[in-house]
Amino acid sequence: MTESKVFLDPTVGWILLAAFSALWIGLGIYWGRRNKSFEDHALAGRNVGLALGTATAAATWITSNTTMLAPQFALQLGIWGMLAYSTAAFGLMLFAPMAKRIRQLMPNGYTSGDFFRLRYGRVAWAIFLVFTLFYSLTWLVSMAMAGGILLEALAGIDYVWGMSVILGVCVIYTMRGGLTAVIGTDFIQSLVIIVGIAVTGFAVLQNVSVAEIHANLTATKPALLDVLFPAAIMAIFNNLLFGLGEVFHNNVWWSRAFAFRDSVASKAFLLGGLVWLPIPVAAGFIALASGALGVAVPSADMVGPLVVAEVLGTMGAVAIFIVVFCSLASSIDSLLAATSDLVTEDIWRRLMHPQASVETLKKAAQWITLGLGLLTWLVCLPRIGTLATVLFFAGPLVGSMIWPIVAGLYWRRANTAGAVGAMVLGAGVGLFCYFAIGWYVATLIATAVSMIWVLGATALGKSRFDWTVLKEDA
Amino acid sequence: MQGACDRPIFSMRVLAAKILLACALCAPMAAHAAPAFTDPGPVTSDSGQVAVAWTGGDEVLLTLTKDGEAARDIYRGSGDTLFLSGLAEGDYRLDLTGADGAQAQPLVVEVRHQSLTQALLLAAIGAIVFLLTVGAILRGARDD
Amino acid sequence: MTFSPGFLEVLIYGSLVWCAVSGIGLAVMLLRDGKSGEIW
Repeated sequence: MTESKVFLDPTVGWILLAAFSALWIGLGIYWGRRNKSFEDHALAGRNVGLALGTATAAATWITSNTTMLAPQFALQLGIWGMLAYSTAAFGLMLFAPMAKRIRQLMPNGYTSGDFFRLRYGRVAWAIFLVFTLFYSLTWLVSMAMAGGILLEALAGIDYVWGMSVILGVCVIYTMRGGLTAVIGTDFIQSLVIIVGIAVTGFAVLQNVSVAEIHANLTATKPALLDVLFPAAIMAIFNNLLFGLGEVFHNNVWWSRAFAFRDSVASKAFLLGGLVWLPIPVAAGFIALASGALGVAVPSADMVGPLVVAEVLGTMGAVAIFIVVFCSLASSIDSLLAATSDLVTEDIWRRLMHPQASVETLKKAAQWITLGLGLLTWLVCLPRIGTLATVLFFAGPLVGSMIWPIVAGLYWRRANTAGAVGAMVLGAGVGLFCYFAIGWYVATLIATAVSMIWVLGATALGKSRFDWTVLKEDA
Repeated sequence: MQGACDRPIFSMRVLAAKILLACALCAPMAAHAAPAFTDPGPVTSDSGQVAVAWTGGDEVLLTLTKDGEAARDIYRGSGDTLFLSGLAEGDYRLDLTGADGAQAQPLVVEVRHQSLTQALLLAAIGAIVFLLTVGAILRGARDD
Repeated sequence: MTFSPGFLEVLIYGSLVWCAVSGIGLAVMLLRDGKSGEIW
């Protein structure tokens, strides 16, 4: 069975884990010294440059799912599967012009919650908070769990220890260093991941040619090469819209839009998307090579590490371990930071302590990060496998927020009835279709329904929004 | 990026098969019994993928036969699960043979891909929604 | 209708080269930002 097959000596695994943990925590504490106020802590002083901006956009979007699920997706849905996964890059690229608009409209903004509250009022804001916290928490839990499971499968490190160390390390450096530490470590992590994937890919191709891979697929897995593979064709736009919904609504991306320097915000998201674009193919194709390399795949979820470890031996296993650890850390830290800032700004400050000073806010954000980490740890502890599947209900929720956000940013006539109706109706119909028809229509239908609702409400709406309302003082 | 597909990192189907397998392994009799597929089938798939699990038999040979075609060896070894994907439309038979030549009851696999018309229709709706979204963003704020 | 070997070749090598180039690009961008004091 997959779990019983360990690719790496546990001692080596622990040494790698300890070394990278020490590095991230050290850098987090070092960079954390720069932060004096909540603004420094939450938004890295609103002055992040192009290189760090690009790297953090790409690295945050490369989760353990990208490096682990891309091969699985290639194995299940073939060439279309890899291409469908790559379309998630469009989320980042399309967010580029939006980031510019967001900075222009909300020079003092902190979170995506601020936008919903000021643009559409408290009801829409409450629905947004429920949707985004559901999505963010399940994403966080699924990643921390994936971390524990992967470290156990790769190096025989006990699930609870692996999960606790990854989560603990991310909590410590995010708490100490805030977004500064998250963005700084993201740069190193993105380079490690990109170089690791490229080197591993080229090394695999030393053992098998693309022609051999193609011939083997034609003979044994013909559907994976089929241009008209129905299951894969259905996945394309569902994935694309899921990705768009994830990026457009989540505070992970909005906080970066606020944190990047004015002149680089737009460019960094565009370049980040371009950096991300080839990764699902570069990391995924090795699964297609499994047949040609004679590697039997006991279960789809571990196909990536399996092929790399079988072909490249210990060095391959070390590379996979490092890439997976970096991709986990680069996303868990961002999600911890952005979600705790959302809770700090939208709930703790706006609802409970409107007069809080900047120092108090920074302290609150740090404690909320710790609390969020502890909550995640407690949920992950029993290792309930079905929890990860809950994340996939989030598709309709995030899809239904695409149009309220886009219309709200660009059209004065977009209104509360449009936004609230679109989110409730879109998510409702989408979830119904998830169960009634299948996963492959859920996000698509949710987005389509909410789009039609927003277009209708905007056309009928008489009100004209005053953009200066969004320029609320910090 | 999270929402790439409906499947969790560790698929429930495989998990269920593993739990069944663990139960089977706990029973002392099972370890030396003739090989058998965990799910007696017939298995149907609308995406050309099948997770196969079996019990019994240390060294097994798994062969796949598509109706009207020659049998093909797809696995030889001591594992107890195999993931197949990319199967074209058709009826298949999986045969499992233990080291001592004992044969499991064959597993019938029917691959009936989802409707291409439905897939293309969904893709067309998706393309329209996506293009309108792109259009709205690139057009920007014209009513300022 | 199937994806051809040539297409697969271009797709795979293209992605790997793209990754390598973007890795170098990120490093160069950081050096450039560092020189002009615009990292943060």
